[in-house]
Amino acid sequence: MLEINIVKKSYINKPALSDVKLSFPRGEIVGLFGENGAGKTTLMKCALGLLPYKGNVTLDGAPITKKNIEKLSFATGEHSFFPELTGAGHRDFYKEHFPAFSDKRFQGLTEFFGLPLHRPLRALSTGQKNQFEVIFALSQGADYILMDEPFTGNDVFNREDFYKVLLGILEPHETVILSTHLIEEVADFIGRAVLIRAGRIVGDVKTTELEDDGKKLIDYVKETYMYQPDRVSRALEQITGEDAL
Amino acid sequence: MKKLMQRLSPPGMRLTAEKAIVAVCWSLSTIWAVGTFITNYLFERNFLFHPEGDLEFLRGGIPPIPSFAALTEGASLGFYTTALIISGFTTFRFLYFIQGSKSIYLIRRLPQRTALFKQTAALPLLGIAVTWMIFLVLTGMMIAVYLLATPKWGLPAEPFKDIWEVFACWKLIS
Repeated sequence: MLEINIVKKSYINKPALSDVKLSFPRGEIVGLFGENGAGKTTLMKCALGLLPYKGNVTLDGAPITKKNIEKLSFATGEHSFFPELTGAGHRDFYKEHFPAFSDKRFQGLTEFFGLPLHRPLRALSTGQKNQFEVIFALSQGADYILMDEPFTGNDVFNREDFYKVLLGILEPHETVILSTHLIEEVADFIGRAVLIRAGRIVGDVKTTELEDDGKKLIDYVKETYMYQPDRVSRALEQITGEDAL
Repeated sequence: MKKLMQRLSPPGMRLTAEKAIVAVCWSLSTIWAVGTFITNYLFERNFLFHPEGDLEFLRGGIPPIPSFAALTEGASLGFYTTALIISGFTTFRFLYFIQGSKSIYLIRRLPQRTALFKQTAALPLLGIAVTWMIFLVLTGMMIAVYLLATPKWGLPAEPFKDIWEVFACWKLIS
């Protein structure tokens, strides 16, 4: 169980996270949604210990330290690989540092996406870089795989394929926390949705509960965010001075 | 050696530039140190002799040559500069982890506590240690020249007085 209890995280007196309490049991695929600047990335970085914060994050009751950090992996749209190193070089690096690294999964996924293993990653397309980033996170042998906007730059077909592959390869003990703006696209692949706004958790629901209520994920998100459907027409009216509808 | 250097460097980083800079620095430092000593030494040694045709004869009644430390004043300047340049590599190595990608996230997530230190500071520190070892070896060689090429009566009473000043280069700078 990954438990996040962040009392406060701020950037130069600007609050980024407040009273965030979340727990993630093993075996879940969780979507983390929120507008830009809501705190999704900050939340993930705090959980990984990459940013200082007030509070605590525990994994199976123990604080995250060098002893258990390998149980967490991270794929980020900012990329965390070494640009000058090849895919094969990264495989060797991960194998050396993460004993649970799955060579089989790495090989299977790189073959599936047809990724070149002997070119420096800086020379690849953005889509390929993202694929490598996600593959490293999935192959590390972690129980909790945190993904922050990992598919930026990938076309819709690649993304669809990836979700399907993801569902197919995940072991029952693996949890994926996926931060993305592509709500409708991941709606069928996640089991739980966590909504964050201005650094606070404003929604946390299982997709089965939504199904029972006959509600779509996107509608739940809009409802929670108090989305105003007429904001576009109001804006157009204001800009053009004409009745937009 | 190549493997060790790679293990102590950010993954994928090309070491060609660093190696070239260090090689040039070590060469120039050696030339500077030896040149400083040889120039000073020959200048002082010449007073001990007077040439007559192709032969040199010992001069009598003149003071001995200065101490070894006095003859090597400022010889370490190049090695200080080299050490400073090599220590700057630590910064460049750290920047490698935040340029082009944020591989610093990966390095900081590694179970090995010392990974970041190993890949940024360890090799520069080793380079600095080797720099001073080279200087020590050179100093040993210069001492050998000083003792073997100078007639016994031409050496001062305390040839190694203030020997630690071999490492001093601030007099030269000031």
